[in-house]
Amino acid sequence: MSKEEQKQGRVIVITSGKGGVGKTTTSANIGAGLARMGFKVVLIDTDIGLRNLDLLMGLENRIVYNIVDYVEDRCKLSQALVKDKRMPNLCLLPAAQTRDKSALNEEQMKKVTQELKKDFDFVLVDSPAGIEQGFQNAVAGATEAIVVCTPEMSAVRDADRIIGLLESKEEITNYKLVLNRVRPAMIKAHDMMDVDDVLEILSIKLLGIIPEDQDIIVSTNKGEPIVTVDGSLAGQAYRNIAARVSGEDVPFLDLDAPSSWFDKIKNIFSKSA
Amino acid sequence: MGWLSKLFNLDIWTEQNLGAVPNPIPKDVTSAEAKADSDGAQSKTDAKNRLKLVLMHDRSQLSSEVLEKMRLDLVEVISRYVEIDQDALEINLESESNTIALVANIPMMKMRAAQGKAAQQQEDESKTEDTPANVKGKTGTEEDDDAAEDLVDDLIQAVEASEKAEKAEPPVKKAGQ
Repeated sequence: MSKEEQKQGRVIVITSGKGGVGKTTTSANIGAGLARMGFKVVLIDTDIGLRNLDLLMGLENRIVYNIVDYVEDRCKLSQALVKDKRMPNLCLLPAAQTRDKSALNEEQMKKVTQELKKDFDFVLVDSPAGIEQGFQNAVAGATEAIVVCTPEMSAVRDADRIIGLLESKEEITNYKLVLNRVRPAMIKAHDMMDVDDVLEILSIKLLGIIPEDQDIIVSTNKGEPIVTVDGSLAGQAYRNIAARVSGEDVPFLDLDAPSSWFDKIKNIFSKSA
Repeated sequence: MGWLSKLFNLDIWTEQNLGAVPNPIPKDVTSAEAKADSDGAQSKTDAKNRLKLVLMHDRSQLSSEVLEKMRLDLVEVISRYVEIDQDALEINLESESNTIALVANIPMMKMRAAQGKAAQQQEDESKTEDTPANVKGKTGTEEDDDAAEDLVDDLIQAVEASEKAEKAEPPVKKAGQ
């Protein structure tokens, strides 16, 4: 064990119920965002058999061992950790790609998170979709949760189910929502549920809003979390979320901020009217 | 000739139709806004309402079997006091802000004199024949209030009992007030 003082890191699971709403993207970006702020962060990919977090972080070629290797005693925990290219205080514990969810159980996950939180400020657990074993594993060692959802009916329904399951877990003391893929134009046209609609339906607290942003696809292609890219709105949104996770009080992004001088002036007049 | 002109017409029709679509692909903001303005269709309202309904059922975990059992129990209890249209008694889930309520709609045939009411009352009551009343105890006359309160108390008990039996999570808070 390391000789440096033992930390008591926070273990946060990122989950959603529905697949494809941005769990992994959110995990990578909050992780990189916190690391950018100087925290020691480890990301755990628990999507055994369908690992992707390594791709989003551009670390797919550096994986030697994975979480199942550690659990089955083929390597030490430190050997399974993959260091990020740019930030030395950011690590990934990759999932096994050739196994399935039954390769891990809740006790083993608890042990892994217990070990990791001694060395890291934040242990972020990227959960697989669904509510079965994979989800139960991901939640096992966590005390906080981030629920990722999009303003679509199916995502909201599944998020509600996940929130119900999180509520039944005594260990989870705090869970908040990240609303992803928000399209201000559609909300304006009343063709998409807005943030308040979703919060009302799910009765959950908001951690952050991420606008739909093509730059996310570009950054994924490059294997660089968008939080490290300046000048994109989604990147700013993730930086804000990371700051909020760390305890800072950051105001929410105004996604339909007036784009021109004319709009600003128009707004002032319409408000005073 | 018929088939020819038909074909001709059809041709013209398709041509016109094709010609009549100058901007087929909506470009996010503007056309979506225009749509909302023109036909008042706000799909988010649909989404919200449908979601609320489906989540109510998801959350309550009340199966239709349990609801039916509860319905029959309610029929039994209420029938002690009033004559009701047994088949028309309905129990539904409704949501108000953050709570889910069971709401029963009970069409009444006529009030019984069971609660020691004077015969004169029965005249009043016969006027309420076939008026639907709900659990809130909407009754026609002041004199009926006692009976209505008893009825509501019984209902609350019955509903609470079935709630306990099923360990359903949503609070059944409606019946009274």
